[in-house]
Amino acid sequence: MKQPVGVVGFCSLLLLAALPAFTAQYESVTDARLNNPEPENWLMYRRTYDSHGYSPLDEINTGNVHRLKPLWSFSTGLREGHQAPPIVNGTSMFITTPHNHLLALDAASGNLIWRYIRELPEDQVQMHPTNRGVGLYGDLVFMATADCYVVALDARTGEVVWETEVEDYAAGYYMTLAPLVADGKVLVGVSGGEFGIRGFVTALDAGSGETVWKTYTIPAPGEPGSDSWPGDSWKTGGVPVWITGSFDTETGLSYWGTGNGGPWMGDTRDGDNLYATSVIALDVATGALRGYHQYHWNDSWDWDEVSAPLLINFRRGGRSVRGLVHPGRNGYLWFLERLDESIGFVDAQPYVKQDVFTSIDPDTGRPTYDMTKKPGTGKGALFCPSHWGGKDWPPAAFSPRTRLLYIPANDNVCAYMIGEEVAYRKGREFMGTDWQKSTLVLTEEARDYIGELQAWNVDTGEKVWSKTFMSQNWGPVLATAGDLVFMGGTNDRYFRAFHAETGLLLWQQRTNSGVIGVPTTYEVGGKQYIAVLSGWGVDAEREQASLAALGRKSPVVPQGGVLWVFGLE
Amino acid sequence: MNRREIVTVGVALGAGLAHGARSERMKPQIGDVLVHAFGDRAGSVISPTDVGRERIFAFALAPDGVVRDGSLHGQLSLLRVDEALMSAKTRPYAAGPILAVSAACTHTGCEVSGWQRDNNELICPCHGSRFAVLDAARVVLGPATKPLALLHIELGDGVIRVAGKFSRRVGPAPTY
Repeated sequence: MKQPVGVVGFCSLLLLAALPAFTAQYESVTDARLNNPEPENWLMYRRTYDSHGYSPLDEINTGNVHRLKPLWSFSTGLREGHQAPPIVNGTSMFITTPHNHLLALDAASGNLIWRYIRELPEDQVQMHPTNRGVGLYGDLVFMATADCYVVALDARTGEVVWETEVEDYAAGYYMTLAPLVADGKVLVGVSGGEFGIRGFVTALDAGSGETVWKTYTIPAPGEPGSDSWPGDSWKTGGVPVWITGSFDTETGLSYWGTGNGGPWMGDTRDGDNLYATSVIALDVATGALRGYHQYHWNDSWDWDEVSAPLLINFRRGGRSVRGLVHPGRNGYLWFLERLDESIGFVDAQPYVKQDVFTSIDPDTGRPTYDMTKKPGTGKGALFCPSHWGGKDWPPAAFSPRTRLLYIPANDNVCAYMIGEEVAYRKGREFMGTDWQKSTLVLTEEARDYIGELQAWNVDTGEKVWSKTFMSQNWGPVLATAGDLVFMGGTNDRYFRAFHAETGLLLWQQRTNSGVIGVPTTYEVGGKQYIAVLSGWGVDAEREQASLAALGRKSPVVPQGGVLWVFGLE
Repeated sequence: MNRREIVTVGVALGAGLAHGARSERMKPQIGDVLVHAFGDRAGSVISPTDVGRERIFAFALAPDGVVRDGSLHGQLSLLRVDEALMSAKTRPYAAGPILAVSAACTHTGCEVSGWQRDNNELICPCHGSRFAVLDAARVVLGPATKPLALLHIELGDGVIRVAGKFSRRVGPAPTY
């Protein structure tokens, strides 16, 4: 349902000084610019469609990063999880916050230009209060909202140009991801895998907000794959899409990771449950499904595989593979191949302790399970890694200079989980997990570390270095041509820079809160900046509480979002 | 939800009413009676004798026949507890041994669906917050920091009737 502006009355808007300069400098975002962004800009979630999270800027590098200083900061005034990347086009920066504030700032001075505050329904469940940033196209800026709208605003003024309801929040749908803007469309997926939704990806026309296509992640009866769902389970089977997809501009295919089936216990929906915990290839023009790979079937561990695979051409057996690379929440590092009408399996190996898979089919990549490690309804099981996985949503990064993939991992945290019967009720929690009896369980090695930053050579498939942390790690990763890797994520509130080749810690800054924001870098007036939101919350905080319940000592991490911008003095 | 079995014609669904002001989305109002929220008996009036040690989810039935089932903020946990153990802050809201507690968590607004009758605690499945219903639903364990809202109820003619307002804001605090 598209709503014209004017009858909406949803937004509050603060229009501030310095607007003329801001307006004059704004350069429209075109397909050509999105396909090949200028080095100085960060125009989308991972900067480029291949999801590398890599910037060619190198003014800040291994030789001078020790001189990196905070230049300015900005308080958002909000609590909970600040995860959005600062998106930069010229001198315009856009950040989003929990509860759907969207702020436009001057990227050099830190002046606030305008602020949009969405008025969200008071009775909405905010299970994951966060937002992961904007998409840009033309002169518009797009945000996917918690009440399941896409709203398009004038990037210069913050005025709402259109807004479209994607689904009914009262039925448990919500959105937290940054939209993927491709081929003149705004693509979004929905959250709600704990509320009995039926997941989908939809594309809206960037200019009008009209729906162009909508593709469900669970096939309806009669469609291919529908026999992998029993009875009516497809109607409420979850399979959300809550992280931005990658886009192969050569083939026109977008690649999306999909989340857990619902309820959580696989025995409530016997079968493989396509296309849960998979990567799916969707034609951006039509929404047609053009291939998939299911990382693991009949998920029972809440291992959402929502992180989009990185598009990396890697070498195997003397040939170059047009690859997809995915450090899975299930604890395996997956190497796949992009084919015209399918996704091929190349190889996979565990990157953290994983005791569920007993083997991987070398041709198809299908895992076999130790069924004693698979929880069910009334059947408890201890398994590693925990439901937060080897890597949750925080994105990995890839540097084409080092050929290394940088994975923000967690190891040594396992879980005991047991399911309970649950009946579907519209918009209500539909997990079917007995939380009175379920708990995290730590391995012996947790005395040494939980969080980890791992670096893997994508051509050899070997781990090159690793940095470990006592804290759990919820830090998205940025790689730069300065041979630096930036990451926060730990409960000691530090934001850090590592040597991309060796993992040596080169610089760190303690911040106001825990850094679970996606770091970005940009250049204005010939000067390079590093930007990141610090604002602990959502699952980083939840895991901390669960670890504390086990007696693990953890520092207090204060909440409240602050944007930090660094540069060389 | 079987609202349509109960709803009388066109009540409050007419054009011009704001989204949040629709009768079915309103919070319980004084004079409403409580009905079963879910299951085979959804929409049927709850007798005080129906309320045992198992938690019953309830919605409010307006005098005009509309069941206010359009929002989690109108959903209640009906509980029978030991009246003698209620704190002074709790008792004014109770109808004898029966308490009506908002089902919306004050943390992030999830349905508080867990009930431990052995220690009279309501538990939110989303993030594990626990609330002591005997002591005005105060927080026993976070991450919630604020108590659940109690609804003032009274007994009468085989029904449980809404007698007053909630003790505090329902659900989480707004953000600015």
